[in-house]
Amino acid sequence: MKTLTALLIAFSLSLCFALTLNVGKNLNFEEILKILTDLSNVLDAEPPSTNTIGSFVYIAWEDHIVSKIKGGDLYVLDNEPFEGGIPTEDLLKKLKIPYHTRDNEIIVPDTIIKSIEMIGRSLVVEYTGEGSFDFEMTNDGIVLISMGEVFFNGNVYGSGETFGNFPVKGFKIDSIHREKGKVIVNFKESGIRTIKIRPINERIDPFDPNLTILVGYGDGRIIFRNFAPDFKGVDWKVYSETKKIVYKLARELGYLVEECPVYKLPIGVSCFIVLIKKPDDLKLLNEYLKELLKE
Amino acid sequence: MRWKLLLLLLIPIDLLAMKLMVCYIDPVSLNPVLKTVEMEGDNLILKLFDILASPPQDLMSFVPQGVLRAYFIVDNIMILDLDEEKLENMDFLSERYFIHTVLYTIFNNLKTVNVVYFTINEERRRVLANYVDIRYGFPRRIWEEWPVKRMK
Repeated sequence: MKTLTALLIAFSLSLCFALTLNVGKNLNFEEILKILTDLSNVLDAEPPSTNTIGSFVYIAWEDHIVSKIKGGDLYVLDNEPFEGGIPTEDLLKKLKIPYHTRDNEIIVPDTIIKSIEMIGRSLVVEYTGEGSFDFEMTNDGIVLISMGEVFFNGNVYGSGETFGNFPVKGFKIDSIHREKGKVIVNFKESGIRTIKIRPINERIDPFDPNLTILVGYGDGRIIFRNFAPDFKGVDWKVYSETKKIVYKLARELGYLVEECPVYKLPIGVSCFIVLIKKPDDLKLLNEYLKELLKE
Repeated sequence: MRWKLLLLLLIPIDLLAMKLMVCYIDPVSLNPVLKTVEMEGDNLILKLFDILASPPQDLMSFVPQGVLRAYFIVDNIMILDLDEEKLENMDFLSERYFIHTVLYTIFNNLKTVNVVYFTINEERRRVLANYVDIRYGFPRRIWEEWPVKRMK
C-alpha cells in the first residue's frame, strides 16, 4: 500500500514538474518525441505525430519536421542535419522554446504567461501549461509568485520568485476564479465608501474606493454595465449590487434604466452614468444617493 | 380542380418561408417597435440585417446598410463581423441602440444562440466605434428583453 501511495505521489509530482534536460546531451528519436509531447501540454499545442515514408521516419510538430533514416545516425531538423542525435539546446532554440540553464541542467518552464492585465477592478492572468503561480497581498499591492518554472516577459522564474507586482493600495483579494488557461483575481475595498459625482467626460479609476457616478445631460436615464459570460459569474456580485442601486434611483427620479457595456464604466466596479433631464435633478440625485448608501 | 393544384403548389412555398421578428425604433419615444417579416432562401442573417437597415417610413433604424460583413455560429455562440467604415459616424446613442437592436432581433429569432460576439473587419476590438465595449460576449439573459426599461 505504501509503495502504491509513493508511486502515486511520484506520478502526480512528475505531472506538474517542469521539464529538466541535460546540457550537451544529444537526443535520439524517442527522446525528441517525448520532449515534444511534454511541450505540447505546456504550450497548449497539438501533440506531435510520427510517420514513416520508405526508409525515413519523421516527427511532425507545429511547423517543424524532425526526420532520420531508419537504423542510421543522421538526423534532420527543418533541413539542418545533425550527426548522432540533436543537441538539446539546438532543438529548443530551433523550436523557439523558452528555457534557462541551472546547475548544468536545461529547464523548460511548466507555465508560460501569455498576458497579465488589470481589467477594471480584476487582475486577469492568461497562461498555457500547468498554471504554477500564486498571488500574495503586500502593503503596496498584489504580487505574483512562481510555484514552479514560470516563463514571463523573456525570463524563467523558479519556485518562490516573484514575477509581477500591481499596486492596489487599500484593497484586498475578494475572490480568485481559476479555469484552464485563465485566472481572475477580484478585489474589494477595505475602506469606507463615499459618493463621487463627476462629469461624463472624466474617467473612473477602477481602484477608487468611492462609488463614482458620471453625470451628463440627456433624456433622463441611468446606464450601467451588464455582466459578461466571459467572467463566469465573477462579475455578478458587482452587477447585482449596481443594478439594485440603479433601479431604486431610477424609481425615485422617474428615469429610464439601460444595461450597456459602456467602455468607460470599468468591469467589477460599482459605477454608472446618469443622463439628467434638468439641472435640479442633480441635487435630487445627490440626496437619493446619500439615503441609498445609508441602507 | 385548378384551385386544388394551386393550393398544393403554395403549401411548400409557405413551408419554406420563415417568419422573423425585426426590431425598429420609434423616433419620438426611442421605444422598440416589432415587425414580422417573411423570408426565404439562403443567407437569412444577411437578409435580416438588410431588412433591419430598411425601416418603414414612420420608424427609424440604427443599423447601417451593409454593416454585416460575415457571421459565424459555433455551438451556441454567434460571431458578427462588422464593417468598420459603416460604424465610423456613430455617436453615443447610435452605438448603444445599434447593439440593442441587433441583439434583441438575434436573440428573439435564433433560439439556439446564447452569446453574441462582435468583431470589426475580422479583428477583436476594444470598442464598437468609440463608446461600447465589445471585448466580451453579450448574453441572451440581458438582450432577450429590450435592455432599456422604465421603472414603475
